[in-house]
Amino acid sequence: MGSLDWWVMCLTFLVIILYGVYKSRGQRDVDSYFLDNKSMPWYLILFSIIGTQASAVTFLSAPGQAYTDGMRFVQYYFGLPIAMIVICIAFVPLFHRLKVYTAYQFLEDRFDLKTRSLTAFLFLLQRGMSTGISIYAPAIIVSSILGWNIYWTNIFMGGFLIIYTVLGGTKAVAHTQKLQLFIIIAGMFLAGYMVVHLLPEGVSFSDALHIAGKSGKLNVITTPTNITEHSFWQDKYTLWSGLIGGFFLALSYFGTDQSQVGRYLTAKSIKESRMGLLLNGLVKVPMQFLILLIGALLFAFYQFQPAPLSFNEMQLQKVTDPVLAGRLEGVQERFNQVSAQKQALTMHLVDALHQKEASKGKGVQNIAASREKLSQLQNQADLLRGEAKEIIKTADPAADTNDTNYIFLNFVIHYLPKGLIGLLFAIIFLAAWGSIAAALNSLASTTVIDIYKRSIRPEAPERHYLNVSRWFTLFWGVFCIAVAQFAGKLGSLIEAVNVLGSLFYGTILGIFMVAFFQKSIRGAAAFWSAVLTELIIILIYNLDVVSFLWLNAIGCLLTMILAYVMQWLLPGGQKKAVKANPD
Amino acid sequence: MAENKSRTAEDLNQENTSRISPLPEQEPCGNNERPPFFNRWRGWYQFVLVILAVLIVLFYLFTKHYD
Repeated sequence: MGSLDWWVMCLTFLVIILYGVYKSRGQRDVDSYFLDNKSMPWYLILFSIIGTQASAVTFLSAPGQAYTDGMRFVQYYFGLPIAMIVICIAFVPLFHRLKVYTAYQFLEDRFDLKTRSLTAFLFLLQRGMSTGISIYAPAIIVSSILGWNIYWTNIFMGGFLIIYTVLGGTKAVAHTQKLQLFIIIAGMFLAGYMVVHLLPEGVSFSDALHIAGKSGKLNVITTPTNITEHSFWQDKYTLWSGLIGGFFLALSYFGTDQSQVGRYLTAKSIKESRMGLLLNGLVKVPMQFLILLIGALLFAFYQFQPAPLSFNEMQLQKVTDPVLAGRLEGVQERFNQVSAQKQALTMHLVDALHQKEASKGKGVQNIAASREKLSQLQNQADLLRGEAKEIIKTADPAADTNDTNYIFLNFVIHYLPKGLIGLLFAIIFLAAWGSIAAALNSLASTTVIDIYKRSIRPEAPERHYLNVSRWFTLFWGVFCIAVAQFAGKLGSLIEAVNVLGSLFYGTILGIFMVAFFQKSIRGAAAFWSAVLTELIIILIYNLDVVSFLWLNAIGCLLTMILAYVMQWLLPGGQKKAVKANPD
Repeated sequence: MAENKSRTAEDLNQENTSRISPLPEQEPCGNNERPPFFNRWRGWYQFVLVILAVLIVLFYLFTKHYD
């Protein structure tokens, strides 16, 4: 990075931090700290919801995911708009009427304290862990580029956002998210434009799409039909798992995860909350599609340019043993040869696509033959990359050889002009800050409202709770940084966050569904069904029977079914159930 | 269907409110506020679903075209 990049990056950070601190004024009680006195308009709710969900992981991992696995990851978001509708109908009016600070407050009134506490605990566990990953994601960039120690980078990374989050609470979080999102969207458009702009002369955007498509990277919709096959349930991203599993995951995330519920609880009316959520349902899928498209275009770009043997080049440099370094050099030479052949063949494919007879008999055959050869060369390149990973592993058994998260940033470092590199780096940081700040705010609100104020110190002056809220925000910031120190072993970060969410979300959503729709169920039945479901979900995950997205649906449905069973099994349950349901 | 769902949620809201919250019944909460562009919220819900369906179809055509 040049000095211009450093200036751009530091200036962006400074603007955000000062803006956040400026917006921190006027916090006098818990109401203003966690809800901003319920004063936010729909557009701030929308920015806040998007900014909370779209972390640095989204911008780092998603292009890499498209590069390696294609664009089918977008299907994961198909259930989201449907979930937005259900939340607008069932959740939003209820939360607003009850004037709750957290979603879990409602569960004590509906069931009992232990159900509220269990749900709050599951949320704190899951959100605390996944926020740690969200800190680690941008930290790897700095450590990779500047050669900084990753542990210190995590600490450095988490520190800045804690300043304005501790001081300003929800208000500072929402206003900084708005500014961050503007910068992020502008930067990602510029990055996408640059990928196309840097394609060789004569290769158009449409050609790049054809190259990516012929290599299977534009597989946006995948529709397996045989439900008796094991692969149907194992396949992570299909239309069905996206619509059904994605729906349950989005319903849990936006309906019961305080990091999101806390955003739309700040709206000045039900209408503003609903508009924010519904517009999120409209923009999320196209937005994710465009981010993934950058990854597919990057794949096309690297068909004309020599891709590195590993996108995490630091790992290659760490192989210092003479014997292993010699082997690696041999692999690199063969890889270069394959890359050169790929480049030539890709140009040939572009020529074939440009010919007038491209869609006729001979043209189609020509394209199919090029595609077949290209596929073979791609397999060879993948094998060589695999060989390089083995060498890296032999040199350092603890090394993380998954370079998916490095693909986008590797392109940024090597191909973008000065100034833009700094902006793109700043964007990754800002995206991280937006989601981490909201998470810390929600972790603190749940700890203070559902545990501290409810069970530890119920009677205290407002000023005391405000101070405690700030201390808990700081505590969770430190906790998440600690988790970030171990996040390097989790593979694709975007997937790790979602897997973690899926382990708990189903159960949490199930409790809320029981609360909303199974009126006869009482607290003990809801509590024990949730405990049992969580154990079963962890067992299913360990057995690797189904893809993680299905865990949300299974967890939710299992909690609802077991709640009925428990209601009948527990002492006095039948009597209560009958009494509650006289019909 | 959306109408039924909406009504069910409304029922729940009413019931839960009376059980849980000490809020006065007349307190304005904005639930009946008219949404922008459509007469009812149902219009917005249908609009979101239609856009989703259109996107899925477009993505399917996109996949087939470039495959």
